[in-house]
Amino acid sequence: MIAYVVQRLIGIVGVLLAVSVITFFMMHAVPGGPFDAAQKQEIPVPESVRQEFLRKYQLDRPLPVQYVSFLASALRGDFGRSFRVDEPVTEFIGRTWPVTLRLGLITMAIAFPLGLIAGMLAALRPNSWLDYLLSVAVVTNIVTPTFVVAILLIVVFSVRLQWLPTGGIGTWKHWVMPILAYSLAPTAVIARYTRVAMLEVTNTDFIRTARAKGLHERTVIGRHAFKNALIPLLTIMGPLAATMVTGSFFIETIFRIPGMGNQLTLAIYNRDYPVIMTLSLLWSTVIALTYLATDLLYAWIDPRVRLTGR
Amino acid sequence: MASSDPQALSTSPSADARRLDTLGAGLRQRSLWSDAARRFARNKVSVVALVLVLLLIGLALFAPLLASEGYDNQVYSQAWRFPSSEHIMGTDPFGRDVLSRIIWGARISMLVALVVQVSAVLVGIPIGAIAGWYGGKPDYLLMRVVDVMSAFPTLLFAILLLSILGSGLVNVLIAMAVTRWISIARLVRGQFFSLREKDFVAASQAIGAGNGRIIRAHLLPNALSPLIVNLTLGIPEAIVGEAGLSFLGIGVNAPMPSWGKMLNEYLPSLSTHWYLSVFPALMIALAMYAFTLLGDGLRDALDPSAQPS
Repeated sequence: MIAYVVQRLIGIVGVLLAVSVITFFMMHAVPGGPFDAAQKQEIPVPESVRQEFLRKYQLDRPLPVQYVSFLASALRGDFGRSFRVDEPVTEFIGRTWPVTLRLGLITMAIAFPLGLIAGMLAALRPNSWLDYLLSVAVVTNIVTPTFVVAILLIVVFSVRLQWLPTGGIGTWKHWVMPILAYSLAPTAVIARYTRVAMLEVTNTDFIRTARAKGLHERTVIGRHAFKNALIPLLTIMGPLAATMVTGSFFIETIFRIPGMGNQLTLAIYNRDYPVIMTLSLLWSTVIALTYLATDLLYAWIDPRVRLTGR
Repeated sequence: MASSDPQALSTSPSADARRLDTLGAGLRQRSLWSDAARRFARNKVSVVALVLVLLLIGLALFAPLLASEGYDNQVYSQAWRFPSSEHIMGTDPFGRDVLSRIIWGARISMLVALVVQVSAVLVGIPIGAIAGWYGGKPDYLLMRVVDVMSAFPTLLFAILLLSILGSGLVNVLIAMAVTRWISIARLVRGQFFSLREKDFVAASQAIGAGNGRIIRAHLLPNALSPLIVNLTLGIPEAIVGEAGLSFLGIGVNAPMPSWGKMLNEYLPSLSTHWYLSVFPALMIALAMYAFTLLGDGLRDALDPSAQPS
């Protein structure tokens, strides 16, 4: 068990190194630099000042040297300073991630239980009108991209009905549409998988046995079936949770929420190298660790699963 | 292979293998495909999806006939018109007919859907086949690429790549194909991994069939149904990918009327001219709907043992 975790963690370190190398060289391959005239819409910086800036942020050194020095400081917890707003990247993350997390966690708290309940209801009465209604809703929500949902919501609730503000943050009203737009797809995905998992479990022998023993239907479904259906669902919820806490780029951009995703385009546009590197590493770390946690949880809940090297 | 006839044994082993192969393939294909077609036709939802997909393809193919105006036909005196009998979907800030632009836009979505899948197949199948059949180093390399790319934030990768290449339709296609082949290679590899242990492969080897022949005649046809499903479900992914990138303003260039690009252009006027954004948004949703349901239908038809959803 410990050997397995260590092995996986070593693998994750390798993946993160690869991600950092790819991000680093790709972002430097993007034409233009952070202090070029084209990037500064305000007043173009004089050439001497630009050179001074490049020296200050050590951008005049060869790329491999820059990469190694970024990595060395990053390992000490120093991710450099943002070029755009002169603040340490760690402070920038500390400012924007909580906003993203707030949106993601509220969305998760709504989407996960709602999806489970919808999927259960559909599975309890397969092929009923409720099942059909739910499956239509589920497919609609899965296939409609978040940015399309967001735009349609704004048209209905902000433009036509004028109930809710179009974007920004402040009162609870600002959060209604982002959370709604953000939670529809994960709710649908979970409902879909819950239904399948529940149908599969209710056809097994141990459920038949439980019913034959004369257990109350509520006990059969709630205690025996649901718990077993939950196991395959974990593999869906893990990655979903990872995307939720790292934030939706589209939602944050459309509703002008000052989270991490919203800052990504700005960072790339401004060639804000330290911010791009840190965001990329942070996201990959969260994704990789969630996958590991999902696998461990899976093995812990279901003793039949054996953790092996690959 | 039980259907071999004794006369075949008199010829050379490789000719024998070829005869047996064609015989087996012929039998299996006929039953599999006609069964699948019957199952597909019985599913009303899939048939509706197929009709919608054909309509979308028709829209793309016959856009010059169907669209009443060109996609960049600017009539300034006709700008900002709400939907009316003259312009069913209204006109945009440049006085272009929105319905015509929507019809032309189908071309871009269908082109993206097709090109991304085809190029991903051309790259992904050989790589997946080599990794799955030979194992060893090629397989190790492929799996490490899969590891890295599944942890790499997809959108960041696409945005960086497009910033390097510059926006434009061709570059969007490249940016999406670069990540798309991995999923196909992974699928083919997994299929080959389980198939290469099967008895019919051992039998084929025993009568002297070479690696290339076994891959082409036995493994690929058997891996075909999951591949078709993967490709069909990859289409909505590609459509939404292009729409998303164009929506962010780094996809196709103006005046090209991609639905995502239209959303990007019309979003600023959402509060005054909502209809401009609604129609492209609905078209994206419709295309997603059609291709996803078609993919689901194909999966149910080709692989009845898969869990219905």
